[in-house]
Amino acid sequence: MNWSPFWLSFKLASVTTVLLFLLGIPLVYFIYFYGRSSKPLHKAVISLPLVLPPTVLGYYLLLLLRPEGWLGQLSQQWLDIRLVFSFPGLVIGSIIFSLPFMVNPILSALENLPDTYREAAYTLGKSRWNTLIHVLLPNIKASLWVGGVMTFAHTIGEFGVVLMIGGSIPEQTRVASIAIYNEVEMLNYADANVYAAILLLFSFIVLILVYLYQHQRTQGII
Amino acid sequence: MARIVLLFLLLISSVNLVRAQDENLNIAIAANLLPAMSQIEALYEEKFQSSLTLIVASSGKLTAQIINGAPYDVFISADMKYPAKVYSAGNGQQTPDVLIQGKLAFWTKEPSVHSIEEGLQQAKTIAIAQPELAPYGYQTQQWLQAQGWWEQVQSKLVYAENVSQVNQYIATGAVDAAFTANSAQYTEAVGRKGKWKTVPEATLLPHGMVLLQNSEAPEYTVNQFLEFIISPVAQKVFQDFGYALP
Repeated sequence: MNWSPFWLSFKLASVTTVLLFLLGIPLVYFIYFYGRSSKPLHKAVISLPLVLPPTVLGYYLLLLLRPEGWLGQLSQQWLDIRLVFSFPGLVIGSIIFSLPFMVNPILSALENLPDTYREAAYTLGKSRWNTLIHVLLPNIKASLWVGGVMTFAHTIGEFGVVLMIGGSIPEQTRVASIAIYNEVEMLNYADANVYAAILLLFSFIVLILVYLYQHQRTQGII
Repeated sequence: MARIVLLFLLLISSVNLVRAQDENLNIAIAANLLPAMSQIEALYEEKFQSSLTLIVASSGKLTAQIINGAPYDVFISADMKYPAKVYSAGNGQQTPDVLIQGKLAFWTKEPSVHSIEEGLQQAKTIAIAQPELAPYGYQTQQWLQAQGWWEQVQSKLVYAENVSQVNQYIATGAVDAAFTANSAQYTEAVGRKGKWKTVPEATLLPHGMVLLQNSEAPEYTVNQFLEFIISPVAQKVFQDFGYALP
């Protein structure tokens, strides 16, 4: 039994969640405060990975990350990193793939907050950024958690995109979902069973925790 | 609501009727055969007014699908091992026959490369098909080990599911070098890119064909296909794509 695919999935999900959180907050900031009439467009773009088949994302990412692609070329020239078939490439793919799972819960929670919070903060002389960080976000902690946990879980379960841009390299891009696929193809049902059961259990526990947390909060408010 | 349900049921039953009359054959083929088989498919459909559906994957994946009851009529693998496995699992109607022999080819993005050794050294990433699943990948591994280069290239290897995905990496320029089926260099998509070399002293890959137990197609349709695939017309297509006849 080889555990490196799980470790790799865990690493990929952790890195993706942290980076996506750091990228997601400024993104939410711009859409929430400066979006105005173009808000529907921003939301549509962010939600695209939800509805697009992973093969479509994988195909465009392959074109983007290959050595001739603009991002692939940039990183090759400036950082000497080859993106396609590498861990950094997977991280970029996962960030795009999981974007709606981080941004959507945060954005909709912000929109559901009463305007008075924001207006009160302005009256007290806070800037927009300060209002977001010190007033609005602390009020939607639950949604921040949900965004983070769902991003993590969704990245663990990522398959199609990784299959297309990963190259199935052991210890580098062969994540758990890909390892299961390989074991099944090789008719190693014993190993595939163990891998699959672990992922099933993991996903179930994550969802239970998320819903338990939400349930308790709503109970608390009542 | 009842009307919608009725309409729905009618729709489903009509689909079934169409399917029952269909003389379509499902041919499961190893990925490397796709370019040649698409041409053969066109010739077959023109001649007989009945259709073929090609199911393309790695030989290993198709074997797993067949053993688990996939509704295919004929299976053409990139080796003899998988058809034998299908037959011994009780999914074949007769013992597998060798249809054609495939060759291994090497490709580099850089056209000025003179030898495979030079190509392997220059490359940062080399695509091969998964040795455990795809016969071309297995043959690549065998050949690299025989040359004593397997260990050296380890860190550069990128694994594709089958030779089709290797060809996709060649087409998009995502890798610097690749081992793939010789047939790829006769295709429009990748044939004109970079530089191609046939791998010297690599063992030929006998492609086994087996008629499947799950087949529900009428016997004469199956026979019609089996005769056509070994006819001079089809064999000419295989030769055009660089395959050797058994």
